[in-house]
Amino acid sequence: MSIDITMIERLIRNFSHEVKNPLTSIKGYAQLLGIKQHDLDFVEKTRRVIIENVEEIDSKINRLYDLFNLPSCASAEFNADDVISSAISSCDPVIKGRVTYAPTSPLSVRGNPEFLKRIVTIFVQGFDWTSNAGAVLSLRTAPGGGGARAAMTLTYEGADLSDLQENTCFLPFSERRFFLTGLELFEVYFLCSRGGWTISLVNSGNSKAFEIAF
Amino acid sequence: METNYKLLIADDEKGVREFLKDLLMSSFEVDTIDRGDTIIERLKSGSIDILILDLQLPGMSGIDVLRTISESKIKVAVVVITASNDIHNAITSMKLGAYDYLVKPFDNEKLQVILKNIVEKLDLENEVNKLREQVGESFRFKNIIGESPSMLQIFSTLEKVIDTDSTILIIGESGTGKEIIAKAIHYNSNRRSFPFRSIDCSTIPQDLIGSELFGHEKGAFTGAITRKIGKFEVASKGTLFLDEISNLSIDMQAKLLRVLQEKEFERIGGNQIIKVNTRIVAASNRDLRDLVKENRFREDLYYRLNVVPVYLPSLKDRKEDIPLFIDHFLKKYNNEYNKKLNIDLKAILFLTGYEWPGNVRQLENIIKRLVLLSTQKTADVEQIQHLLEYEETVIHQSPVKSAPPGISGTNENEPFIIRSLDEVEREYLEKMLKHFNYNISITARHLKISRKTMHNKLKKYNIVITKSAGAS
Repeated sequence: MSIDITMIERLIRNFSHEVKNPLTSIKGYAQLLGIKQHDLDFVEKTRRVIIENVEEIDSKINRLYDLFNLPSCASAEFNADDVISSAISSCDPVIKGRVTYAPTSPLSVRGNPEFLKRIVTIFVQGFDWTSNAGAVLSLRTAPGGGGARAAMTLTYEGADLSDLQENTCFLPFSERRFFLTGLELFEVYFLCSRGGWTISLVNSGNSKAFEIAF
Repeated sequence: METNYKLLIADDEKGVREFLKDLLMSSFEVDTIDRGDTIIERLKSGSIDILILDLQLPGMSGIDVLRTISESKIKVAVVVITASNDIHNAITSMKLGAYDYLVKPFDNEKLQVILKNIVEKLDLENEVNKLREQVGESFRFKNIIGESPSMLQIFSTLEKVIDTDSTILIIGESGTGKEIIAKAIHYNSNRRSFPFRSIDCSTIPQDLIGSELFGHEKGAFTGAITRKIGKFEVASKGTLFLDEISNLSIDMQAKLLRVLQEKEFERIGGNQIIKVNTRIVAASNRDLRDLVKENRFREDLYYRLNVVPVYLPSLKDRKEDIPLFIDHFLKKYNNEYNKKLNIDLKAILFLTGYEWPGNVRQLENIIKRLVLLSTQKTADVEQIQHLLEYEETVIHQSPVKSAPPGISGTNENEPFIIRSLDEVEREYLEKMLKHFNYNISITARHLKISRKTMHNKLKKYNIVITKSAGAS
């Protein structure tokens, strides 16, 4: 058995950052309570803060666990174009204005359509559009054939997007620069793995392309 | 600790921002921000004194924010807070100018100690700036005594060139106020926030003046046990005043010329080229053109220095200013010695008509002595004539044969008697005490000894000062 120590170190660093912030609030308020114990409003606020932050830590852990509790999927052929279009249309109207998808030919893939829907939703809704003003997302599909697998490419461009590291960007809590919670790319990677698909990253100047091979 | 300082908390975690605000709002005016890319704009628009900065922020990382603060020379004390134990981040943050670094979750007390130290530092800086401003204010042109046409012309010329970095050469007799004009040039210019340094080229030995000007490296010569930063470097971006520049040796003149031309030099014994942006104000009590003719001053250096010449008139050539000087020095020394001396009109007219070979310095000296020694409320012409006559006598005679008026003890008609040092010291002490009305503090100050030393001597010689202002 071989363990990638560097990967584990990175994982621990990422996770500790997510946990240390709520711990800072908990510890800070607990210390202040020693001085302000007679201020009933403050006592109530401290109670609320401690509970909220404990729940935040708990929810981060649960979100990771939930992925591992996903039901096993039945592999079947489905029309990917319909699933992709449906996923995009169910997203926030303001956000989906930044997304372009123009299927050129029918795309039939094997796997779990719910996984594909979730992946597209993550890429659309999970991206931090506020921090990356000017960014747009374009989706393209290729039907495959002649030895090539069917594929979907999701490309972010139009903003100052610095490079991602392929060997680390899919780790939990690794990417907070472009995504909201840092778990988005990990979830996508996980879904691809469970669905029998592969995902790779292509950095090309200011554009970042994720290619999923079905 | 309650302060008026403004503190900005930059963290993307709402809980952390809220907690820090609750912790610090009783001591500071607190504001919060949740993105890295808006911090710089916020720092530039509002006067933020302290920034608590998380390293992981959306939009721009904390390290990039620190780097931008450093490059933009934004004046703010930064305390970095981070969830990461990474020593590399800590080192990078400190190198980029962070004041301190805390790892989450931290003790409130640790943060408060850091902020207390920052506040002390800011208080000191503010005090230094205030003092610097006060010093600078005293050298504003409007506060310099000079309403005579010649002085007004000088101020007018200087105001035109003050922010141009051009070298200024001040020519004037001794005691005309060359250094004051040099300081006025500095404190009225855009260099006033930077150092003003001066070197009197006539008092420093020629073999040491190079080190004074340019500094030296450790081991450059015997006695150079540490590196010394020279005045050119210390005064970079500020002003260096070279008084009595005619006293520089020809070798040193050549070195000075090179620095003026190239704006760079090497320390004595060093190899590193040091670039400086130092404004030079030079002064001489002799016309340098005469020295050039005598081959005692380099012509090329003369032309390099004489970009803006200023000829300070002697006091006798600006008689309109004498009453103003009298008024100024009278106020100054009455305040210093807690006196209320006035000078009558006849005396003022006399002083105004006097030749003043020692110029303003001599006038100041006379007024000071008048305030110190006068026992009357108003000084008259006779007292002033007496003081001036004594001065003229002293200048032309050996000092040991003459004593200041009112202070006896060295009468050349007395037979020469051998006495012990203690006897001489005791007699001198008693006489000085009598002259300063048995005021121990004033007497000590003029004898240039501390009060403690004074008391020890009184005890030694068993001199008792009674309340009726007499000694026994």
